Amino acid sequence: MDQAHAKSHVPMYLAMYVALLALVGLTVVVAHIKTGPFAFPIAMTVAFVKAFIIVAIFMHLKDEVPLIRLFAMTALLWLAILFSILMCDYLTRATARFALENPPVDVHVGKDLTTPPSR
Amino acid sequence: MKRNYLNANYNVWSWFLTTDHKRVAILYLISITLFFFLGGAAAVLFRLELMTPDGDLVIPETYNKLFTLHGIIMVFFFLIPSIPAVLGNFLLPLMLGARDLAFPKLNLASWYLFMIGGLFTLWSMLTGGVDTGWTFYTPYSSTYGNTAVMAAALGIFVVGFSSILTALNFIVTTHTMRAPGLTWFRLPLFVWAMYATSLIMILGTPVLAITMSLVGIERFFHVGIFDPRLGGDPILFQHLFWFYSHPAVYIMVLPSMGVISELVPCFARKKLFGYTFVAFSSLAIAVLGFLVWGHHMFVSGQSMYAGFIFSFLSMLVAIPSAIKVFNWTATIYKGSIIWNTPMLYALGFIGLFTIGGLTGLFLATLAFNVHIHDTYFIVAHFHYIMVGGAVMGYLGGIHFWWPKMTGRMYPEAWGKISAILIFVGFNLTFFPQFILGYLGMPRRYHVYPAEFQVLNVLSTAGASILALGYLLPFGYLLWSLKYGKRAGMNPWNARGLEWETSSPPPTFNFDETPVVTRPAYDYDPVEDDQLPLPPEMLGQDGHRSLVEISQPEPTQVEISS
Amino acid sequence: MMAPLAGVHESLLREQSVMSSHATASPYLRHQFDDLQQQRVSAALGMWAFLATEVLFFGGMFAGYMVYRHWYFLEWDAASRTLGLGLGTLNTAVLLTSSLTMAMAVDAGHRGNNKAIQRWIALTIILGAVFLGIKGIEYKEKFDHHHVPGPYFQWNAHAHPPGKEVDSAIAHGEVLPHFENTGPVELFFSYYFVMTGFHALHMLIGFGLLTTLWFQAGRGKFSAEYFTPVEMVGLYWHFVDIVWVFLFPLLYLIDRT
Repeated sequence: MDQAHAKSHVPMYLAMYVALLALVGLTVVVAHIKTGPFAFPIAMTVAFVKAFIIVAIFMHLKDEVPLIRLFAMTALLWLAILFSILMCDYLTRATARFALENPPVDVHVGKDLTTPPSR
Repeated sequence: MKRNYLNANYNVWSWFLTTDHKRVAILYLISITLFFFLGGAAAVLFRLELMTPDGDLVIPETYNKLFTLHGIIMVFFFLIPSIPAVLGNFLLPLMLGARDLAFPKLNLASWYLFMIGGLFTLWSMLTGGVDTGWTFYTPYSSTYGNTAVMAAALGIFVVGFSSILTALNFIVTTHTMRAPGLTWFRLPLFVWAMYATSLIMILGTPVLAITMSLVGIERFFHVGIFDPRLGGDPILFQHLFWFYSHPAVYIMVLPSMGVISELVPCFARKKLFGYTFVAFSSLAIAVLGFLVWGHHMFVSGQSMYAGFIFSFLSMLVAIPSAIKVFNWTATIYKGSIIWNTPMLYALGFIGLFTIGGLTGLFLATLAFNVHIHDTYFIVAHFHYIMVGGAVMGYLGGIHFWWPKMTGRMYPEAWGKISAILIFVGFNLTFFPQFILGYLGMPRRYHVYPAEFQVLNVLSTAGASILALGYLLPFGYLLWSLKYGKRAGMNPWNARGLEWETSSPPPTFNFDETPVVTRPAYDYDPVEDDQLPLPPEMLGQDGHRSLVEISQPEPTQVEISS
Repeated sequence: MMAPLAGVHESLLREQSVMSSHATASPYLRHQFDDLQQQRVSAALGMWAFLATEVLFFGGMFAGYMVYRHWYFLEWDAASRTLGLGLGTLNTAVLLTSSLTMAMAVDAGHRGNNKAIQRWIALTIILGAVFLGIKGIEYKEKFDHHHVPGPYFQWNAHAHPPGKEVDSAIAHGEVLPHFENTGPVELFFSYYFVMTGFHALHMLIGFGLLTTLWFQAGRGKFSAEYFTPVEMVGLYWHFVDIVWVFLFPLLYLIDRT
C-alpha cells in the first residue's frame, strides 16, 4: 500500500477547517457591503476558494495521480461549457418580462389564454 | 463442448445475479431486441396511417402517442444502449485482455436500472401513453399536457443512470485494466469509440436527469420552472434537454463507427489507414458534440447571435466524422475485399452515414434550417444517421462477433440477403422523406395534402421491406444457436485479443493474461495472399472466395505468459 | 496468420500482476483486479467520474438559476432576503464541520482504527442530521409565510410598495416589496426548494452510505491496507458539502446591503 499517507494529515485538516469558517464569515460580511457589480464575483470567488480547499485537502486531490485531477478539471470545464454557451443566448435577448406583463388574451372572447385546461 | 461462460452454470439465478460482463451483455441483447420490436411496431402503425392523406387509421391523439413512443423507445431503450451495452460490455474486457470490467456488480445494476426504466415507460404506455414527442417540450409537457408524462419521465431518468454506470465501468476499465503491452495506441479503435462514448454519457446524461426531474417536479408539485405565466422560459427546457440530447446522438453513432473501424480492416485485409486520426476524431466528436446543441433551436426563440454560434460550431463537428469516412475509404482502397455480411453492413454504413452527415451540414445552415425545420427532411436526416448508420453498424457488429459470443456461425447467405433487404428497404423508406420535407410536409402530422401521397406510400412500402429485413436476422440468428456451424477461435482470421480465446470464451476470458507486442490491425493483404488461409476462409475450390464457413477448425495461437 | 505473441512489455498497472501468484493475494482483492493498487486507483477513478456526473446534475439546476437571476434580479434580490441568514450561516458551519469529521474518519482508516472510524462517522451523521433539522425549520418558516411555490403562494398580501420609510425594513427582509407580477418571486422559491431539496436528498443518501460504513467498521472490516469504502464515501460527502458551499451564497447572499 502507498506509504505517502503515513504522515498524519490532522493538523492540516484543522488549519483548513478554521480557514473555511473564516471564509464563511468573510462572505457573509461582504454581502452586507455595497460592492455594486462586484458582489457576485466576490461571492463566487470566495466560494471557489472554499471548494478548492475542500477538494485539494479534504478530498486529497493534491496527492492523487494526475489522471484524477484531469477528471475533476473536465467536470468543471463541462460546467463552464454549459454556462457560457447558455448565457450566449440569454445575454443576447430581452427578458421575458414583457411577455409576463402582457399575457396573451383572445381578443374576441376576452379570455386569458394562459390558463391550462382543467384535468 | 469446452466449459465457457454460457454453459458454466445453467441455473436461472446464475443469469439474473451474474457479474460476468458477457452474461450481462446477453441480458441486454435480449432486452433491447424486445424494445426494438416494440418501437418498430409503433412505426408500423404510424406508417400505415401515413399511407393516406386523411387521418383514417387512428385519432390524432393516438398518432401523437405512437410517434412519441417510437422515439422514446428507439432512442433511450434501443439505440443508446445497443452497441455499448451489448457489444461494449461483451468485448471491452476481452479486447483489453482483462478478466472482467472494473465494477462487475455495477454492470449488473446497470441492466436492472435499464429494466426498471423500461418498466416505467411501459407503464406510461399502459396508462394512456405520452403525446409530447420524445423531446418533451415545455410548457406542454410540464403544464398543459394531460398524458402519462410523469411515468415516462421517470423511466427516462432511471435508464439514464443505467447509461452512467456502464460508462463509468468502461472508462475506469480502459484506464486501469489494459493487458501488459497494450498501450493506448495499440488499442482497437472500438475501444477508443467506447471510451469516447462513455465520456459523453458521463458528462451529458446527468443534465438529462435533472431536466426530466424538473419537468416531473413542475407537473407533480404545480410549481413553475418553465411556466411562462410565472416568467419562466420554456426555451430553458430546450437548452437543458438538448445539452444532453445532441451529444446523445453521438452516443448512438460513435460506437457504430467503432464497429466499422473493426470490420473494414478485417474484410479489406488491410490495416486501418490513419489510426491516430480516427482515434483522436472519436475524442473530437465527443467534445465538439457538446458545443452544438442550439442547432435544434434555431427557430424556437433563442437569440440570433446564439444561432450564429451554434451554426458555426455545428459545421465544425462534421469534420472529425468526415475524417473517419476518409480513413475507412483509404483503408478499403487497394485492400483485398471480402464481400460478406459484416462487410456489407460496413459499406452500407459508410455510404448512408455520409448522406446523413452531409444533410446535417445543410441543416446547420441557418437559412435552410428555417425552411425545413420540423419537416420530414429532419426525420430523413436523423434516420440516415441512426438507422443507415448506427443500426447497420450494430447489425454488422452482431454478425461479426456472433461466432465469438455464441460459438456458432450464422448462415451467410441469409445474412447477405437480409443486409441487402435492409439497405434497399431503408433507402426506399427514408429517401422520399428528404423530398417530402423539402416540399414542406411537416413532421408529427397524421394528415397531409394529397399531393404528398405518392412519396408517403413509397416510404411505407420501404418500411415493410425494412421490417422484413429486420425480422430475418431475428429468425436465423436464433436458428443458428442450435443449428449453426460451430465456430473456431477466429473464424474471420481477424486481429484483436478477443479472437485469441475460445468461442464462446471461458468465464474469466483468458486462460493466461495475454501480453501484447504488436500494433492493432496487423493485417497484410500480401502476406495473407501468400500464407495458407484457415479452411474456414476458403471456398469449395480451395481459393479465397466469398467466405463460406465449411469446416470449423480452431486456429492455434500461442500466448506467452 | 496469427503471429505468436512473444516478449514482455511494461504496462502501467499490470506488470507486477503478470508474475503475481494468486496464493498470496489479499483477502480484500476482487477477482477482476491483479493487485490492491490497481483496485484502489480504479475505485478512486470511478468515484471521481461519478462525482463528475453529480457536478453536471447540479450544474443543470445552477444553469437555470443563472438565467432567472439574470432576468429577474430585483425579484430574486427581494426573495433572497427572506431567507434567514443566521440559520443559513450556522448550517454552513455545521456542514463544514461534518466535512472535517469525515476527513478524520478517513484518517482513522489510514491507521486501520475501526473504532475511531465509527466514532468519526457517527459524528458526521449527527452533524448532517443537525443540518437537515435546521433546514426543516427553515422550510417550515417558508411554509408559514406562504412562500412555498404552487397554488398557495402569497407575496403581495404582506408587501408594501417601495418607499423611503420602508427601505430599511425591506433591506432586513422584515417588509416585502410589492411586485406587479410575483411570478419571478415564485420562481426563486421554486429554485430554492428544488436545489436545497436535491441537496438534502443527497445528504440522505449519504446517511445511508455512512450508516453502512458504521456497521462495517463495527465488524472490523477496515484496515490500514484496505479502507477504500471509507475514502470513497468521504469523497461523496465532501462533494455534498461543496454543493452547499455554492448554494449558500447563491441563495442567501444575493444582496444583503
